[in-house]
Amino acid sequence: MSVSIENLKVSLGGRSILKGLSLDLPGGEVSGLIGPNGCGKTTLLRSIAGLLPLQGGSISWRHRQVAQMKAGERARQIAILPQSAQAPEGMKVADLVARGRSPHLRPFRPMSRADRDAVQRALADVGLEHLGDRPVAALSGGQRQRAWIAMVLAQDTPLVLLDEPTTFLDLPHQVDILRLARRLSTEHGKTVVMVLHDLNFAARFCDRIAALKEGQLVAEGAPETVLTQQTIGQMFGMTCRILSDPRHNTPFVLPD
Amino acid sequence: MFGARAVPPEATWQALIAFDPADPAQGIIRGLRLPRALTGLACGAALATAGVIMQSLTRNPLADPGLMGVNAGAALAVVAAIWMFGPQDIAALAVAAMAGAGIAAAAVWKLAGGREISASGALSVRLPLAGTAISSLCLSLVAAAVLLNTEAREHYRFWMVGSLGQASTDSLLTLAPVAVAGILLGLACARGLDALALGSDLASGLGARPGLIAGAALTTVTVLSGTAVALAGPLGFVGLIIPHAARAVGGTRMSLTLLAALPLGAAMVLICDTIARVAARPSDIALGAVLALIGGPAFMFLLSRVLGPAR
Ligand SMILES: Nc1ncnc2c1ncn2[C@@H]1O[C@H](COP(=O)(O)OP(=O)(O)OP(=O)(O)O)[C@@H](O)[C@H]1O
Ligand SMILES: [Mg+2]
Repeated sequence: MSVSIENLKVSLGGRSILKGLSLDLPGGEVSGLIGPNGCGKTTLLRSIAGLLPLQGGSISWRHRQVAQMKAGERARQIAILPQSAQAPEGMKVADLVARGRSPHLRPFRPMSRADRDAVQRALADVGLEHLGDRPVAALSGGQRQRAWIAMVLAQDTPLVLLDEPTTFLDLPHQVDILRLARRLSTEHGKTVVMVLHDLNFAARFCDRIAALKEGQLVAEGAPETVLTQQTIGQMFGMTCRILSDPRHNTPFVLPD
Repeated sequence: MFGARAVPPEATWQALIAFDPADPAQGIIRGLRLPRALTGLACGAALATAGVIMQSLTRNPLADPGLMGVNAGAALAVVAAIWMFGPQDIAALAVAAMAGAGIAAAAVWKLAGGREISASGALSVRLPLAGTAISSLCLSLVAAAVLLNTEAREHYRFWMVGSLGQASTDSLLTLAPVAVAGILLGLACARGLDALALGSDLASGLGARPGLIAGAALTTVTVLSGTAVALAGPLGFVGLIIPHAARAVGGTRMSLTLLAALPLGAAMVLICDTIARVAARPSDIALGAVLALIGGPAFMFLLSRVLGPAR
């Protein structure tokens, strides 16, 4: 019941981006991907979603090769929210969320009762049930991000991949989204993999962290084993102190 | 019913329900005006569908087969075919038009930098620029052919502006099924285009196949504008303006927008052709000119809305 990545090699535009990466992300947990800009986090996430051709190695989800899943079936197993998603002009929130149901629709058939219920539930899950009729463009940045997450929820997949779900959000909204991500795992039993830049939030909201640098794994495991002075130095070339969050007992990174 | 020569309404009615070949008025209706009206309907529906699909695919509200050089490419291919091989039947012209449309679309895509920059927003600026370049190149080549070839000038002029003057039952019967097939293919792409409107990563994530959808959609555009050009020459503005009206009806649902575009496009061509024939009785000014007269200002209005207030 996990994502298992073995010796993954991916190239983009003729350049090798992921250079033999092996990693296991346990099912039902929240995993965080961290690392400097351009180290390949997005590329790894897109590979897990089956969006990129692999140069070598393999990725499997629930013991099945992602590359061999049919497009429709994959979309019922794995949902991905890209880093900079943009809604078509004039689209309403409820319509956007309804797009998440498309892998469940039969060709040329409209949405069923169950589909509409799933859309309503997803809207309620992110607290947007009253804004379904608003154009996406008329939402605040935080609400908009929640609308996208609702779309991914409506897709109702056991594996959810989120690329920097908290960028552009203020602190309370960041915490909101990360709590929601946790609820996906604790309440809905989903496996969540997300890219985060904030190391302290990663420590606090992820069960596991994988640290990347230049397309290679630097460290992985529980937050307290990954977020050490040594790993952070290796990853970012930066010195820091590691404190302990007294309330949540998670490591707290304080740059020097 | 309307046209350079007045035909009484009774004769029109008679021609439709109980055709009497001996009556010249009824002959005009059956032999000329009915095929002309139906050809107009087919071209309008085809161009409007092609416009809706192009605007969705390129995520550019100013894309259309006219502005993007597709119609011009088709017209140039037809003129080149006639130039090289002499007069052709309508099926051969349609094939040439589709080839021209396809080549022009590919050239515009390439010139705009297509694939490499499709992820970034720059494409929405570059596509119309590239389209305008290809379009004016093709149209000036057609114009050169017209100027060089004095004896066939009247004939070639048709391929510069477009009109329904050459509509005939034969060509309509040959190409109407092609137009219908193109429209159906477009409707079949609707859900895929809806997914693609979210970006290609999300579309794949939702189980769509972006490459397949884009290929099918481009085929649709090529078939439809090729057909329309073979029937009526390069008609502008229908594919540009109608999609905006259709989206006002269909919203962000492609299937509804496409269904709305069919009658709207057909109506626009029919109305403009009626104006074209009545305004300058007894000669009829080309439909393309009337479309431009009405479409030009509408385009400027659209442009001001798309660009928004200057900041
Ligand atoms: N389509 C592409 N073609 C060529 N190179 C690419 C492409 N997409 C990304 N890259 C390169 O791949 C590398 C990894 O990119 P990726 O987007 O995975 O980084 P990232 O870790 O997500 O960075 P960020 O934190 O900035 O989002 C970068 O050097 C980037 O320039
Ligand atoms: Mg990234």
